[in-house]
Amino acid sequence: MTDFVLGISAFYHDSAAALVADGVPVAAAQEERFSRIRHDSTFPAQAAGYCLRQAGITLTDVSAVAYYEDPKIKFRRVVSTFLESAPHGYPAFRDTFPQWLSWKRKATEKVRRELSVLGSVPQIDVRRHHESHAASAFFPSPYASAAVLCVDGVGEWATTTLWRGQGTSLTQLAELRFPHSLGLLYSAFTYFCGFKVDSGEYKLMGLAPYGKPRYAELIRDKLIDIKPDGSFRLTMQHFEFMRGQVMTGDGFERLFGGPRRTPESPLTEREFDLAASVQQVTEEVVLLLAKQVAKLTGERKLCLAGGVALNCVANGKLAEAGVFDELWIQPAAGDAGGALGAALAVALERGASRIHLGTGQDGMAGSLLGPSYTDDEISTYLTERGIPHVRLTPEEMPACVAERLVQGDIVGWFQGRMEFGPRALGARSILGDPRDPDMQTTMNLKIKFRESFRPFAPSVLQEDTKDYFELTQDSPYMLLVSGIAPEQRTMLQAPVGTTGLDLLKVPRSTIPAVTHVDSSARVQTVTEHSNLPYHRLLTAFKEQTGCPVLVNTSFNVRGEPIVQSPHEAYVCFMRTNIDLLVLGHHLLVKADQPDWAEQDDWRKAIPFD
Amino acid sequence: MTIALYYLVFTPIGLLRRAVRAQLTPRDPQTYWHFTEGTRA
Repeated sequence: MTDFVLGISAFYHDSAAALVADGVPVAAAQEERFSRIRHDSTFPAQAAGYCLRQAGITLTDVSAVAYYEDPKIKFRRVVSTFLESAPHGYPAFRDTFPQWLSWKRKATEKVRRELSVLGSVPQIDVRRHHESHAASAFFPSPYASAAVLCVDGVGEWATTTLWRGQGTSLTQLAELRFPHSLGLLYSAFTYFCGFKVDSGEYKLMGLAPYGKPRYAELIRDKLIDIKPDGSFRLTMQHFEFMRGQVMTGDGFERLFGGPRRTPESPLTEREFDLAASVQQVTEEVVLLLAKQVAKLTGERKLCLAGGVALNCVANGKLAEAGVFDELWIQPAAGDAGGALGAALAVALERGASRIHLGTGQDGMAGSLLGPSYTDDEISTYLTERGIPHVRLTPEEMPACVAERLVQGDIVGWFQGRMEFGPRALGARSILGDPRDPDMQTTMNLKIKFRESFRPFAPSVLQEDTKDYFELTQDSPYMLLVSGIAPEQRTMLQAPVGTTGLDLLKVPRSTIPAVTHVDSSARVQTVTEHSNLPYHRLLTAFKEQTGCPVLVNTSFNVRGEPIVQSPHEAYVCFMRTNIDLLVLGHHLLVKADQPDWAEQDDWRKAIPFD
Repeated sequence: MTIALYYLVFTPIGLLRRAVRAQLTPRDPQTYWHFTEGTRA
C-alpha cells in the first residue's frame, strides 16, 4: 500500500502543498497559481486539493501531514525580537503580535482545521524551516551523498545552515542565527532600491550588471562582518527590520547618501551601483559558505536551497569557482519548496527510499509537478466559448510553431503539467526568437509590461549548450548564470562612456535577446527527459535556423502569478501582444480572434510586484 | 492597553537582555558559527 505524505508551507509567503508517494514527489503547487494572488501566504487549500486529486486519493489515504516550520520556536523568536528592540518597534508589535497570540503560534492547529474540510486529518509532523529546505535540496538530488547549504531570510532562528546528506539521512553541522542573515541583507538593499521585499530580489540581481560595486567596501566595513570561514554578523544599528516594518531607515540613508528610491521612480546610477555592490558581497559570502561546508563534509557535490539559492548569478559564480564538482539546486528553493522538503523528510523517516538514485536523473521530474489539461479538456474549453483555433498532430506542431517563431512571432506556450517553483521551464512560458535584437524590448514593454532593464533567459538544447554558453554543468531549472560562449559574442566591450540602461542597446552576441549587459545569461538546459514537447520545439527551431536557443519567460504579465489553466492563458494572450497561443496541440492565432474588451482596465487590478 | 503592556513589560526585560547579551558576546570571535555538538570546527 502506497504511503502518502502531504507537505504544507503557509502563512508567510508563497504558500504551497506537495504530495509524496513512497518518497517520490507526485504533485506540488503554489497556492498563488490557483488564488491568482502573487506570493499568496494563506493556507494552500486549493493546492492541497489539487495534490490529492492528482494522485486520485482523499485525505483519508494520507498517512501524515508535514508542516514546514515549527511555529512555537518561531513565536519565541518573534517575542525575543520585540524584547530586543523595545522600547522601539511598537507599531510592528501592535500590528502583528495579536495574530501571533491568537493563531500563528499554533499554526498547526489552523492547518488541521483547514484540512478537515478535505477529510479526516492524520497526524501533523512539524519539521524545522531549514530542515525542510535541506530535505528539499538533498533528497530529490541525484546524489547518494552530498554537502547541503541552505541560505535564506529567516525561518525559526536559523538563517544559514550547513548539512551533510547521506542516503536517507541529513545531519546538521552548523548554523547562523537571526538577525544575522544574508537573505535579509539582500532584502534590505532590495527595499532601499525601491523594490518589494520577498519578490523584488531578482530585479536587484538583474540590475547589478548595470552598475559598479563602488559600495562593496562600505558594505563590508559597516554592514556585515565576514569571517574567513563564511560566518558573518550584520551590524544591526544600520538596519530597521528588528524594530519596525521596514528594512532600512536613517542608517542606510547616511551610509549611501540619500533616501530610499521611491518605488516606480526612475533608476539612477546609485541603484545600479548598490545592486552591483550587494551582489558582489553576496557572491563572496556564498563562496566562503560553500568552502566551509566542503571543508566540514569532504563532499564533492553540493545541494542548495533557501531563497538565496534563487540567486542564479551567485550560483553561477559558485559553479565556476570549482569548490564542488557539481551543484544541484532545488527548483522551488524558496519557502514553497519547504512543503516538498518537509514531506520528503517525513516520508523517508517513515521508511521510504530514494528510488531515483542510480538512474542519472533527479527526483523532481523536471519540476513539472503541477496541474495539466488534456487536449480534450482544452478542446471543450475552446469550443464552448467559440474561440477560433486549429488542432495539429504532435508531428505537425513543432515545425509549425518554430516557423512562426522564425517569422518574429511571440508565442504563448502552454503544455502539460505546470512547473513547481518560480521559474517557467517550458510548460507555462512565453517564447521568442533570441536572435532578434528588438525582442527583449518588445517582450518587456508589450508583453510583460515590466521594466525595460530586466533580462530574459534562454532555453537551449542540452546537447548544444557548450556551443552557446560557458556553462560548466547542466542547468535544468534555470538557476545558473553563465557567460555567452566566445564564438557567439559579437562585441566584448560597450563603447566608452556607455552607462546604465544604455548598455542594454549594445549588441553583444548572436542571441542578443537573452544576453545581459555583462554578456551573461540565465540558462535552462532542456533534454527529452525533462520536457519532451519543449525539446521537440527547440529541435524544430534549430532545424529551421541553426540556432538551438529560444527566449523563455514566464507566461504572465508583471504582478500576476504564472498562468495555470487554459482560460488564464487565453486571457493573458488576449490582453497582451502575444501573436500565437499554443494550448496543448491547439493553435490560436491572434489575428483570428474576436475583439477583446474588458469593462475595467485590467492593469489597475494587478498590483505591481 | 497594548501600548502599556509593550512599554511596561517588554522595555525593562529587553533592556536587561541587551545588557546581559553585551556582556556575554565575545568582542572579536574567530567564528560566528553555532556548531552542532560533535561537529569538528
